[in-house]
Amino acid sequence: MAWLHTWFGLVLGFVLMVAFFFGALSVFDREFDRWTQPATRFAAQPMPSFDRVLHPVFEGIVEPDPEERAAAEDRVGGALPARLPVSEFSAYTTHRDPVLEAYVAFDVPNSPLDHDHAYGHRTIDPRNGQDLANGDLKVGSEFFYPMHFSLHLEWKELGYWIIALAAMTMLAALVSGVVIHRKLLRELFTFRPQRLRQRAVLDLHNLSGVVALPFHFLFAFTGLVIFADIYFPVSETQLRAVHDAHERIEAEHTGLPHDPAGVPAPLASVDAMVRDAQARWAARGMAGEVGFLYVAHVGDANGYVSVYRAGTDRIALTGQGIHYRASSGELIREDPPESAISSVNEFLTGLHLQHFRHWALRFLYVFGGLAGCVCIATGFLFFVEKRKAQHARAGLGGARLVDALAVATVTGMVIATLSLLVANRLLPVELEDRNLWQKGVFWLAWIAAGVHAYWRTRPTLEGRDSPAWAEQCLAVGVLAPAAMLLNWTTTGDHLLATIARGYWPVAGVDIALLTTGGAALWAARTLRRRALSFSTTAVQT
Amino acid sequence: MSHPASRPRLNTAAVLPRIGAAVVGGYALAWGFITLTIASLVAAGVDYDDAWMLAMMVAFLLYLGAFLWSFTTRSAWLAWVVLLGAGGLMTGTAHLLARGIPGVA
Repeated sequence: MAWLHTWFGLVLGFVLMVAFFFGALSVFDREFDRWTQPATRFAAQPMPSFDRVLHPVFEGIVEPDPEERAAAEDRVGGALPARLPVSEFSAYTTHRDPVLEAYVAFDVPNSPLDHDHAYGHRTIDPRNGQDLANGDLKVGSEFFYPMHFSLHLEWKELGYWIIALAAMTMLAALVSGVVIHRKLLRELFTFRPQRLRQRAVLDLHNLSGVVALPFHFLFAFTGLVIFADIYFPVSETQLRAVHDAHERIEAEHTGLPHDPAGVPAPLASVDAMVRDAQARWAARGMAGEVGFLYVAHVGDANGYVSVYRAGTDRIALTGQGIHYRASSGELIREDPPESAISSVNEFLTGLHLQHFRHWALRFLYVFGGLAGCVCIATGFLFFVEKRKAQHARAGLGGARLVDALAVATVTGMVIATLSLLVANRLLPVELEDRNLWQKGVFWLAWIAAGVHAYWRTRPTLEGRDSPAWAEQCLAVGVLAPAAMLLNWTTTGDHLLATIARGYWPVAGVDIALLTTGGAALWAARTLRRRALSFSTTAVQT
Repeated sequence: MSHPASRPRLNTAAVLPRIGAAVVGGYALAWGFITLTIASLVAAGVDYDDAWMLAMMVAFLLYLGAFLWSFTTRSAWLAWVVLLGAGGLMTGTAHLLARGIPGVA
């Protein structure tokens, strides 16, 4: 078990570090979106009128996004016609979204999948239906968040599988870690920073691992459950016939048509349906915000409209769906209460995705994620500290390599993230391929940090402390306040102004930047002092 | 733990088959468990989506158990045989069960 813990933890710890760090940032993904898109800095909006605002927007989306088309052509194994039939409209919003994402699903002909779709989408201002920051990279929800679960390795969904292996390893490392230690309660109260460094690092590793153990276990587990369909695609393979039979029976049972009728039909007022749904929720004593609005089989006699209640006040993302015939607005069905199994599943996945309103828990998630980062980082440090003298004597490069990778993963990742934020504020708005430039800066900064980490961990080869950590902390200490200052100079939203206005999405990111910068400078100074005192004692002896 | 004799050592030849059993064997076991659970529950009249969710939630815990167990067996090959065997058996049974479900062609 000790072997399993050490080596699996080492190899997949680098991936886990990325998952934990970007997971922690994703808890505030919408807030990073606001910080990086000054035009969208206004209050969160409710779902707008379908008839007046959304319908024209959907009508204006005439083709899938280029990446969606390419992915669909991949699945079909050939080119798709220029014009694809429109199948569905949908819009999703939460209590933290000022802008709205409107999606149109287009049918993919000749696909091996049942009901295969390629999506086109637009980002709009829900107050007037105009495009707003449409096509601009949403740094929080479109870059940090997918990094958390896919590493942006889209090819064959490879990133998802690597993350899954890392999550499974995380679970195994937690269980084997518990088996190694067994004295969990004592670990929780043991931290001896003044003791030998190796001991202190191990204490912190155990402490951070144990203090957030339930959090870590739950998040690795629910993360796997959320993407279970990718990892075990039984419904599209071995059990496809069972699944499809179920869908047909389900459609008969619920009265929500599974397939279009092939007969054109108009769309009645969706706003009237939404009002009816809200009246029905109110009759049950529930808040009436719409979270998800969906039109199936657009323009067809079998079309229907589903109105789902927002998940602001409970764990499940959305629910209490009420369904109407699209052509007449007649009620088809109200969703019955969830089954016990479905409630458990929604609770687990909803807990992970956290779209509900609970700010205290939101902060706890960040601390849980950062505790995970501390646990993994101290695991690396312990590995290096334990071996570097011995590797130096034996002329081995292992400890140095791990040290370099640890620096690149821990501080290098923070440098890359901050560089992206700095680039976001510095790159001119009219720059062509601005999204690509921002991502490019992120990856290049990370690569540069990796090269620097390898170069400046050379002293580890001789069993000494490397200056790489202190130098990269210094870089973080410079970049973080720089990002905050650039936000001030480019938008005028300085910290005093945003706090006075009570505009926490941007104030919060700025405070986090200042805290990060301060902590990094303190760490750099401490490391440098220690290096100096060590070198003077070395000279004296 | 810091005693040299008990320090975890990387012995590739002994360890690779175990990693393989944990990852691949565990996957096969989980796949078999999922398909058998869904097929038998649906055959017993349970809703497909409910059966699917239950199977998935339990399967990842089962996978974890199999994963850890692969590193504790006396021989790696035992883990391979048991996990692939049980996984294959369950997958096959699920296939037969699924054919008998009404509405499945």
